[in-house]
Amino acid sequence: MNLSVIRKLVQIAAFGFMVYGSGLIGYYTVDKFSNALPALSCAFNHNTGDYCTLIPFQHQMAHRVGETIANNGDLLQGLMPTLITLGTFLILFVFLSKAFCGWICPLGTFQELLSMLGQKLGLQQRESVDEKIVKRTRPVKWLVLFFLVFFFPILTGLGYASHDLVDPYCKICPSRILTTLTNGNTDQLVVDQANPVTMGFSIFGDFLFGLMIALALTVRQPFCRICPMLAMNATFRKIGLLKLVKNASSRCEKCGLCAKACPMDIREIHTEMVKKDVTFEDCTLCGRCVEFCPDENVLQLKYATIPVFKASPQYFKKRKKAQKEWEKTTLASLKQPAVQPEAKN
Amino acid sequence: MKIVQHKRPSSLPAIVLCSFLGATTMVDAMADTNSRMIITKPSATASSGHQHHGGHQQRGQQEAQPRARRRGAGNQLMLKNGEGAVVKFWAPDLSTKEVTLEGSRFTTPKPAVDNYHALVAERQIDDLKQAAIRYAYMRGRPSKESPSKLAAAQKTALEIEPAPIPREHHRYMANKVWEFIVRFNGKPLSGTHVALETSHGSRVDAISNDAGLVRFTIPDDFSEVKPGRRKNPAAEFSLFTEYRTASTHYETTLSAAYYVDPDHWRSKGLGVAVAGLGLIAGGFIGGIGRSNKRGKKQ
Repeated sequence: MNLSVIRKLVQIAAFGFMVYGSGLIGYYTVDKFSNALPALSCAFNHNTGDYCTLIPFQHQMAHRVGETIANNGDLLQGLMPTLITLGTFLILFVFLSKAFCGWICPLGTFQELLSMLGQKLGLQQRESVDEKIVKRTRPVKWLVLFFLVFFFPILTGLGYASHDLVDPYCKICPSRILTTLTNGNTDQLVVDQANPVTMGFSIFGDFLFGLMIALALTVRQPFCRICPMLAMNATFRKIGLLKLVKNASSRCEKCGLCAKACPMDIREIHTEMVKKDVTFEDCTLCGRCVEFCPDENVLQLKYATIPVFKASPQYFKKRKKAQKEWEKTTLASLKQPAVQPEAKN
Repeated sequence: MKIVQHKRPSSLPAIVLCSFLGATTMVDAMADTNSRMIITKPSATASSGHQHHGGHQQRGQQEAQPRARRRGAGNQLMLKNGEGAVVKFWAPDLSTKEVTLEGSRFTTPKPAVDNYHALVAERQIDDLKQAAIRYAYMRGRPSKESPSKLAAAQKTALEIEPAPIPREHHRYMANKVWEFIVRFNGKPLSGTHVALETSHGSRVDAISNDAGLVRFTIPDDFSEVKPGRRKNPAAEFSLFTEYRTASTHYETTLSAAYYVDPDHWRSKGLGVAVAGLGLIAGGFIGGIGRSNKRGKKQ
């Protein structure tokens, strides 16, 4: 069993817990579990096991921070709930770091499953997105985090924006639609015609959901690249205990298999020759680069100072073979007639 | 599971239907519904927005207050038809405090902890024991208790338990199905007739199954629905049931606010259509990417 298979099993278990978990831990327990998860598990889902930190942040920006400033209140008191949420988020984040994206997030798992489906349907999974597109896309997640999670909710609290902008990110988040639909609830896949703001956001959210599904069949992790949670996690990546570490060798320059394996197309993992910590802002700590690194100990996943998974030539050979086997079987290949064995003389 | 639900335009057909269904107890449909003891909001309709924490309220005088200042304040409530009743305030840890009535109104004590609290009014007139319950979310330091503990606790002899009380980000809404359990002395009561009435004048009846469970779809009876959740003030519903033993007649109500069905201004068909457009666009973009890649290879 390789790391990718173990990760898939963890992802599926986490998906079950995040999407259907209240049946396991109790209907109300979720409200007290953390409410600050560093992954897109949605509070709009009645059966969620826990929910993401972005929803309390948005509400606190509007109802606590914004309103406190508007009323000349005690700013520290207004900020206190945000600090508590941030503290809870950080406790979780230190423990698993950006692996929340690569191992826990239900939306990330869903996109990976679609990617596998795309590969099996022969939709020619693109190994890597063009470098220019990757670089142009990277700032989007920071803009989404700044404007939709903090700026517009604060403006609402100050009274300068429509009350419908209290939780603007949630209004477009594909996880809201996905996690409710997987529970048989269609209430979130709607066009809200209450006013132009809600209509615009709901249309954009629905469109984004459809776009993400189609793109995930051909491009790896399309939504993750603009996800504000990725930006949030990137902000605190230095304090996470789990890290991607590189001990560059002279062979690295000619290789580049790590960058090709990366679902987020982080080419810097290949080109970086000086830094040890290569947990870049887009890294989800999935570990694929370590799996596909053919050189002993060049790439490692380290928990604090302890290596938990290291690159090795033997593992690389087995992993490459397994990958070839996996990619060989597609729907198209199943349709082809089996080769007839030659008749014996 | 035998659950029957029907609209009841007048009381007489309900009596006939309940008799036909063989309910062991039956709401006295001819009784004056205005005499029931109910804990409600002081106004006829509740304020708009969430009924509990993290709520959105219309920007007005109350909204102008810093939220932090409202934290920990008690709720203003009213006990209808409750002269001589004793009102108790149940905390999530099941500790109780008596609440002083000022006429028909009362203010709940300042809560020590957050989460749902219960207001329970009880009185006895001869052989009639009446009770009224309402759950209210209050802010404070973390209670570390599940609302299911409070809901499941026996607070009065005959009780209607929400199963469950809507948790954060959810609320009672018209056109949706909600479940309740009827209990007598803590045990489920089957075959009991329960009536749901709204402040807009609708009524729905149901009979509890073997597990004491009744299921209601709250009527969509808001007369003037304006597009937008915050433009439609909440209304009130109350559930009523009664039970007779050889010596005592028990009556109980459970009341709560409910909100207009947002599907009045939301279209699921359009939502699916827009998502479909997204799918097409995604397929198109993915297709361009594939053909570019093939071109480069060649």
